[in-house]
Amino acid sequence: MYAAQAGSQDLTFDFATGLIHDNLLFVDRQTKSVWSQLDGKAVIGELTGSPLNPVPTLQTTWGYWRKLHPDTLAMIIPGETGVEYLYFDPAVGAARPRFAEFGHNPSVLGLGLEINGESLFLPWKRIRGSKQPIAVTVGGTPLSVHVNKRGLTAWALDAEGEMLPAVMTYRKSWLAFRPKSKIYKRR
Amino acid sequence: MDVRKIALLALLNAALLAPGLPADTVRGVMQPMPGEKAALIDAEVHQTPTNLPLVAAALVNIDDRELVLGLVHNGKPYAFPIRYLGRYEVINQRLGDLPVTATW
Repeated sequence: MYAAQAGSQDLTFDFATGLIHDNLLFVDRQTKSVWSQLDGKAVIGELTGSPLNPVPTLQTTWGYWRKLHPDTLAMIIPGETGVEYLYFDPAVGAARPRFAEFGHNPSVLGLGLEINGESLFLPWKRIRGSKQPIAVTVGGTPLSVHVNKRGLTAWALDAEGEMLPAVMTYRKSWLAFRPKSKIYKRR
Repeated sequence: MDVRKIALLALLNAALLAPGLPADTVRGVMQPMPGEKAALIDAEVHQTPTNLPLVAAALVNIDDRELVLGLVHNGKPYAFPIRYLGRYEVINQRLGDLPVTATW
């Protein structure tokens, strides 16, 4: 999730069928520049190199999000049912969805962070059973990483308790864009 | 499901289910398909929705196990169900004073 702005200019994005490192691209209507989903930067066109500001977001289950925020609003597409996407992790007792090919096993995912030019990837398998919070330092910034197994999610807070932008993604995708990223290991 | 299957599903979804407007294109060095080498191509650009309805949780009919992207802006929580995000891959939404783009 990004703030849809480049500098002071509001942008509106559309989906593009090309890929970079097998990752999604999108195009802004204002300049037709092409942007990388995982890199958060324009990679083709007039705004090449311009970054988007990531918005701190939690990727989690609907049930856990509603528990945290019972007053939440939710986006819908009127008249459409969409396609259900489920996570399952047998290690935490989350049931395998009926159509497993449309489900994600978090064992291949992790939480990616980038602060002050330094990247860290925390594999889900290594953090889901950790004592919490997990204390790490990224880009000189001390952070605490929190995990909720039932919500199949993790997030990072700074020293003031503010949530930081991070993304649950595939390890391979994260490293494709940040090959020098550190990989978290439990001590 | 691995990252290439995800990417392939996204491309197929856009091609088959996107609104029936003629697709615009954008030219650049990109992969035409997952796993393929990048080349100079004209990628199709499919329009995505802007400012979809935001409703109370009680009006949303999705399973508790389903994924959402959740954020809090100016003290107000918002959820973007992946079942809808996956439909278009990119959605534009204004949350009060903040325009956001949600991608999946």
